[in-house]
Amino acid sequence: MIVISTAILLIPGITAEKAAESAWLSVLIALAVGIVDLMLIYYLGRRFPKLTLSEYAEILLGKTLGKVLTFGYVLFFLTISVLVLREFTDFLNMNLMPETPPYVFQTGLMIVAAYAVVKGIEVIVRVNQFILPLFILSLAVLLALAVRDMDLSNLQPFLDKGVLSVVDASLVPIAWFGQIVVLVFLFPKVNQAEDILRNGIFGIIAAGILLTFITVATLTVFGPEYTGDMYFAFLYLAKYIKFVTIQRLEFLVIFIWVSGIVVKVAVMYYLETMTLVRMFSLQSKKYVLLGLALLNIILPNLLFESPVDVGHFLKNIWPSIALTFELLIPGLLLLLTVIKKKKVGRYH
Amino acid sequence: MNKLLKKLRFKNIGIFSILLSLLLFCSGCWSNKEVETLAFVTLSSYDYTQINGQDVWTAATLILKPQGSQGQDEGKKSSLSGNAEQLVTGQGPTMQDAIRNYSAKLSTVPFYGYTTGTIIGEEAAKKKAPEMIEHRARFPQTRPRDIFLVAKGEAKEILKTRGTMNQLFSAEVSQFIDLKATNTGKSYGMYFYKFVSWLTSNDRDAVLPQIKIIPLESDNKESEANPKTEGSIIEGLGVFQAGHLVGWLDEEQTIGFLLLTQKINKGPISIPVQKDGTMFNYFLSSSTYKVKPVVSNEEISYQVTIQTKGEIDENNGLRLTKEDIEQLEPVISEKLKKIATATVKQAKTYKADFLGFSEKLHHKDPKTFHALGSEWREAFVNAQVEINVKAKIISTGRLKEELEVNPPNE
Repeated sequence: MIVISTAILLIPGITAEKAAESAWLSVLIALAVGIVDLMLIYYLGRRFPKLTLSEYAEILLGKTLGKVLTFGYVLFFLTISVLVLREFTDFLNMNLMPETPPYVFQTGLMIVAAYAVVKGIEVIVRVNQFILPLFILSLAVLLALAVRDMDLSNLQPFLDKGVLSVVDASLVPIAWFGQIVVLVFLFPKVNQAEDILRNGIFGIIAAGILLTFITVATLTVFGPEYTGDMYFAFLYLAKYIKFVTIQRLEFLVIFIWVSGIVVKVAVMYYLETMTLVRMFSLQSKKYVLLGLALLNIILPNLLFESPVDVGHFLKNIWPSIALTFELLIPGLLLLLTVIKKKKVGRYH
Repeated sequence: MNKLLKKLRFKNIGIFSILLSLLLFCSGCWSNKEVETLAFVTLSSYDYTQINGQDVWTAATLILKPQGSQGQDEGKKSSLSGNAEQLVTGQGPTMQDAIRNYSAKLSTVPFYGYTTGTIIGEEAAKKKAPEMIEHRARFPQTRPRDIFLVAKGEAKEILKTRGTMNQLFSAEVSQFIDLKATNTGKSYGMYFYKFVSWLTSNDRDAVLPQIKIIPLESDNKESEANPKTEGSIIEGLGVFQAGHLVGWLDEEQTIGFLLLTQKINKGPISIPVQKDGTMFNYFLSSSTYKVKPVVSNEEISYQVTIQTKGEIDENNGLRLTKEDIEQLEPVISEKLKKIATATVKQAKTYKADFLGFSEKLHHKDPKTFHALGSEWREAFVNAQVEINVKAKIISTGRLKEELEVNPPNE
């Protein structure tokens, strides 16, 4: 849900801009990298089943470096929530409520997210369990109704812009799939940790296939060039669908998008709060919650002046930051645990 | 006790916050609009010209009259009558300014969420189509299935003609595009998303259905109190090259376009054919097409195969035995080939590949296509096109060979 909730609207447009008719292939590449990433996180987590990254980073790197790294992750999660909040307000401002100030949406969402964070991770997971089937059902309905209008010739010629363009286009979805890195902080909370790998791979494959279908649907209906020109190509597909008297199904996309974003922001907000509380050994999370809420409300409008800025950041800057925190650092930490195997054995 | 109070207080704050959020979002926040404050736009048009070197845009729109005012205007007439829409126009140096100027004439806010589509004036289509389309594509209320047409002459004049039947003009136009344009062979059902997709494509050109003013036949004119002498008709296509209108396709060339680019399965398209001086009608009910690009010795050519199925009802005295049908089919095939060839010739004259032949080449042989670079339209013009048509007669209606009418007395 964390991966796909925001990806469904943005990924088709971003990937088609670079890889044109072969954009769907870049999603499949991201899926494969996502599985590798999950394996990395799983094997790292298995070495410290009762600890989060912030705790074992201090064991592996020393107290100071460990804290610096942990703080880096807090900033990373904050960046994700700020980006998501900005995408959320841009989406509503562009498509539904142009006159409403962004702060109103962001404050409303943060109130709901704060409520969820106070109640704990289990509540967030339960909400996700409730939303997920509705989410998948809505997507399935939209895709099924779009099938008859798909023109598969829009997927030709295969790899017209070359393999490199597809690899380049896959960086953004890889960054999206890599957001499963949240597991390094949630590993100790999972009841049956041994099932993480199996269930995780299943989840990533399901999300990847769904995202591939969404990308194929937008490409085959609107063509690669037009898809690549749009911010929210999948919303436009929902607007397009007309089956006998069934039409104006964009409400389904809005439902999917808003509910998915609530869960995603709540998870990020939870991680930001709990990591900071643990890092500074605070007694109460009240002030951290409030401070982070304010940051999450102010930063989306302070850092990005327009959706053009968000698009530029997502395409050109975000992949390198994301891949550092999602692949590089967990990879290096795993390498370190292998090297220091004997030393960390007692924490198993 | 203290703990319980704290818990309750937090619970109340939580519930209050959620209720407040619900109240804000469900009422639409700042974007809240009452239906009475909206002007429902049903069909828009844009014209462009230059006066003394200055851009002049004319935006015109049909707005649905509120039911109360329809009653005042028309007494007990049906609410769907042609006058249920009001024409509002505005002019300005930019498109947006022209829109703002017609909006200023209204006490309500124009709402485009239920617009059926847009008509582009001839001059605007020739000179400013890409800019206009981009403007529409950026506008959030534009829907992918909005219809798009190009007017012969000024688009605003088309809106003035209103409907000829007892319904909204906008509904009349969109119904024709949805149900009849392609199926009758009169035009082509084009929608905004498809037009943009073709315009932005790097291997094909686009077309739009043509709408034009026609004088009304005397039996179709309205009462003397309200004389209506002109109506509008959707017929033929406007051809775009690199996003600009470059010419028109007549009725027969439009059928050629459909034969060469569409899988027709909801005919019938009526095609008059002549055999030995006798005219009869071929009712084309379905057709398929295949375009095969062939590249040999750096020469590009296209082999086109069209297969049609149809019916003959109006035989004008021709006998329809099995042998007769076998003789008629090549005649029909020849006629269809002539129509398709004329369309290809017209496409080459306009240097506009709206038939999608270059797109086929791009799909089949990307290397050759990329080697052409920006010269792909030239390559299309120079390419040999070989058309083969196989027409079948699959029905002769409810009669056998001939209706034997009693001959005159000797």
